Amino acid sequence: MIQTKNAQRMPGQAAKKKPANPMQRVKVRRRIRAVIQLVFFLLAPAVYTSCFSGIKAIATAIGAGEPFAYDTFFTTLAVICLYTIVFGRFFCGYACAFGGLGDAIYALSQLIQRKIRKKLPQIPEKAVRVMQKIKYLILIAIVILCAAGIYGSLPGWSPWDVFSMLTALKGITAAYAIGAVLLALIVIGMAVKERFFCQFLCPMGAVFALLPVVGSYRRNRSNCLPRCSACAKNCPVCVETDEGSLRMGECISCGKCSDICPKRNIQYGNSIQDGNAPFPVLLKALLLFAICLFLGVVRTF
Amino acid sequence: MRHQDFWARVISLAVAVAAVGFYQAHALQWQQAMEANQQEIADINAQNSAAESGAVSYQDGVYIGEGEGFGGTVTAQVTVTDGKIAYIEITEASGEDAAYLDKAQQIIDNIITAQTPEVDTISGATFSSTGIKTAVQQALEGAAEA
Repeated sequence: MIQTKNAQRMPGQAAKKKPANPMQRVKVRRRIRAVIQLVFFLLAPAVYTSCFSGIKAIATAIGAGEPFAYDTFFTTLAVICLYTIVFGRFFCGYACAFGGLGDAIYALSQLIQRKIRKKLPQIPEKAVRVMQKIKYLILIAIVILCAAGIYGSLPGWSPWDVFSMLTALKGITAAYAIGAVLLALIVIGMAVKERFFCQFLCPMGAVFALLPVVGSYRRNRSNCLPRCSACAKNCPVCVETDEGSLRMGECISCGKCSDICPKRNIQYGNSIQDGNAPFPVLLKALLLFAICLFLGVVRTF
Repeated sequence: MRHQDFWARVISLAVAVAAVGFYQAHALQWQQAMEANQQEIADINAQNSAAESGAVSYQDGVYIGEGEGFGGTVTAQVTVTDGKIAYIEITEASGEDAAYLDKAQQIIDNIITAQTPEVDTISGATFSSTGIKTAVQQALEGAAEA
C-alpha cells in the first residue's frame, strides 16, 4: 500500500521523459527492498545487536586485560564488517532490523502526513551533517564504559536491548524503563527524519561508516541531466554520490539514488551500470542471508 | 569513494585490526602463563601434601607407643594399612581426666587427615593431646624402622 501511494505521487515529473517506465521501475525496486527488509526483520533481527556485542566484548576484554573469546558475536562482527567492505553498507540499507523498522515508521509517517496534508518540520541539511557525528561519540562512550568494566552494571538504558526483547517477543521488564523511553523517543525521531537512528545514533553505523568500501554507488556527473539533483534529494542520509568525501561512509547502500535517477546514471562498483538493478540486489541479499544462516543468527520458529 | 580516502581507510582499518590482534596475541600469552603458573602452584601444593604424608614411608602393621599425658602415661595403638595411618586407638590413659581425654581425641582425626603426628595440639586439652601425639610419634618410629 505504502509503495503504491508513493509511486503514484511521482509519475508526473519523470513520466514525461520516459513514459510509464521510470516510475514503474521505482515502484518495483521499492517493493523488492521492502520484501527483503521484511524477510530479514522477521528471520534475522538480532544481527545488529550480535555485531555490536562483538565490539562490546572486545572492549570489555581489553579493559580487563583478558583475551577476547572467538564466539558468535566475534564472528558476526568480523563477517558483517567484511561483507560491508566488499559490498558497501548493504546490511544497513536492506537487512538491519532497526533500519527496516525506521523505514517502515518513516513510510507510515509520510503516508499520514500526506493524508492529513500537514508536514512535520524538516531537519536542515547542515544540522543533519552535524548530528551524523553524534553516533561516533556514542560509540566512543560505550567502548570506554565497557573497557572500564562498568557497562554491565549500568541500568537497562539501551534502547536496542529493549528492541531485541520486542523482536524476541518477550515482555519488557521494569529494569528496562529507561531503554523503553529512549526507544519511544527514537521511534518519534524515525517518523520525523528518514533513517534517524542509523545516521545520528547507531554506534555500529559509526563503525561501518569508517570502513573502506569497495562496492559503492557512484554517479558520472558529466552524463547527468542539467540541474537535476533527484539523487541527492532522494538520499536519506544527505550524501551526494560523487562528492568523494569522508562522508561517503554515511551511504547505507539503499540505492534510492539509483532508483530515482532518470538517466540510470548511478553505477554500483565498477561493473554494474544501473546501480540498483534488481538482480545484483537480490544476489547481495541472498548472499547475506546465506551468511546469516552460516553464522547461526537466523531465527527458527 | 575517492582513492585517497579509500586507502586512508584501509590503512586505519589495518592499524586497528593489527592493534587488536597484537593485543589478543599477548593476552593469550598472559593467560597461558597465568594458567601454567596456577598449574605449577597446584602441582607444588600436591607435592607438598604428598611429601608431608609420604616423608616417612610407614610399613603396614600395628604399632604401640607411649607418651606422657596429664596424669600419667598414655598408650596409643596405631594401625598402618597400605603405608597409611589408618586407625589410632587409645589403649591406656588411666591418668587422664575423661572430659579432657575426650576433647584431646580430636587430635586423632587431625593426625589421620594429615598422615603425620606433627600436628597442632588441641587447645584446652594440651597435656592429654600432647600425650596422644607423643605416643603416636613413638609408635610410628617403630613403623618407619620396621
